[in-house]
Amino acid sequence: MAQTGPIFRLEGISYRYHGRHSALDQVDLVVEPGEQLVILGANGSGKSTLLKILDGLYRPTSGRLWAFGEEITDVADDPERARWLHRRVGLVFQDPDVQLFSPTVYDDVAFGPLQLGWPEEQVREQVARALRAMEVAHLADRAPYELSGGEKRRVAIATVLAMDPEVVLLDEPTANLDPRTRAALVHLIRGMRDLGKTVILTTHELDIVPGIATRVVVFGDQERRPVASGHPSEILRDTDLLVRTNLIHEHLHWHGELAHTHPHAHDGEHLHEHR
Amino acid sequence: MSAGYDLYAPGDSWLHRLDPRVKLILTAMAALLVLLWSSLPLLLAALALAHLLLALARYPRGLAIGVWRALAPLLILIVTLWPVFDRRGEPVLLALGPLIVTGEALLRGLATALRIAALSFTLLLWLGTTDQRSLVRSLVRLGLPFSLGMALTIGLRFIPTFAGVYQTVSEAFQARGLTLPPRGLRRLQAMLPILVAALVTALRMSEQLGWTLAARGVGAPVRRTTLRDLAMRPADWLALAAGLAAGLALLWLTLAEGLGRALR
Repeated sequence: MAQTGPIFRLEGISYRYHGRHSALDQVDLVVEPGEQLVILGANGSGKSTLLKILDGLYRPTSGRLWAFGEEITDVADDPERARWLHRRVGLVFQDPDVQLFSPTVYDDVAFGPLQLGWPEEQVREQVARALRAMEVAHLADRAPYELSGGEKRRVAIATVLAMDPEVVLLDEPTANLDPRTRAALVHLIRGMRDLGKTVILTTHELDIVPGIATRVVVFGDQERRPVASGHPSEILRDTDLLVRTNLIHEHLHWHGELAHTHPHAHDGEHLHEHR
Repeated sequence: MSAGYDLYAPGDSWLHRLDPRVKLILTAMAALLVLLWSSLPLLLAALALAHLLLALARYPRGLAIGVWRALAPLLILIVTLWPVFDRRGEPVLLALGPLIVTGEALLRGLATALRIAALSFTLLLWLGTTDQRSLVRSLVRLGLPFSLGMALTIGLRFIPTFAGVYQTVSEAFQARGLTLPPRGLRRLQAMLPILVAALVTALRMSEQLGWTLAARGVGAPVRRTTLRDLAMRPADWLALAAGLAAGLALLWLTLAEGLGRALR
């Protein structure tokens, strides 16, 4: 049955590591079905922590959280409900090495469906579909540790897609990739829309946002909560917001005696403004 | 091949195709015989047979030489030190104060070294021609719980990853001025901070691995589906019957008739 209400609803969610260090502070957020939501934020703004809370791995320190219309605030303490959530929400970690633990790529992608006890034919179909969607079918017999960084990311996403979740959470999937590999991955992530997936992706790389997002939520690195939300073009045009949230910075250099400053992002986007 | 971190060499020989359970049972039988024998000719014959089978399976010579290289220090140590501590037997070849070396002790040291080499190459016949998946699957089919089999697979899979973590941490330390002495206790002392940092990274990775396993359905209260299960072919049954018959006959000769119990 198609999801009618919001996929996620967060009210006043806060999280403190070891009860002391604040990672998230009073986060309110609603995610609708079919959205491709990009959460933009500088390092330490709480993006990864938010994804772990959405996947039921961390229990929020305070606040309330709903997924698919059911309250899941305490789901991290309830293995049976956590399994229900993991079945519907797949998380791709930033480090693909920890997610690929089988002798071959095929075994890794098949692991989840086999574990869920699906019939053999369905497992084969689902694995083939996931390998195709991430364009890694030719790597099926390779050992995961032999793959390049970009290939590992794609296989890691395939392992999650194979379980056919309704929501895919991607934690900085394009970090440390070369431009061509990054562009290819952005193309594949955009393709998840055609598979009917709701995607929530965290990043601080502005150049991938237009290719993926239907909506952008900006997290402040001081506030550790959303400080803006809107259409990608609207957010990316707001230079003051991007400077304030540490996603770009003022870069000063000299042309003879003329001081020249412009906002500057380090991951491709290079916004020029002469003053 | 797997980047030198394991002994398995892919291939399509009869030994590669043999059911991994048959290989495991016959390896166990051969290992038992090698452990019981002290006879130099028999141990040499077992070692030669293992090499012949490896050659027939087209096992890469470089990998087999690598095993010999890894074993060499241990074998040399055994052959050298055994006669020093074992003073039994005749003839006395050397008597220097408390140091007495007899010819028999020298042969016993040689037999022990040969036994270790023969055991190693017997195991290599199994590990070198069985991929991880079949290896674990065979153990599970022989009664090992799936969770333990999975833990074993993951352990084997992460050897290269942890080796990479250690390498990275080690290089980072050395870039900041740490000098690793070439060998000895001082090297071990210098390695300690590297090991601690690598261990912390490994623990962080294992936490995420635990989450990944939970997210991928481990612990779900359903019966796991199995793809590509093992199936015994007539050739496997034949090899098992022939191998067991030969092995049991040799075992009977060893236990009842004393085959291979004398050094020469």
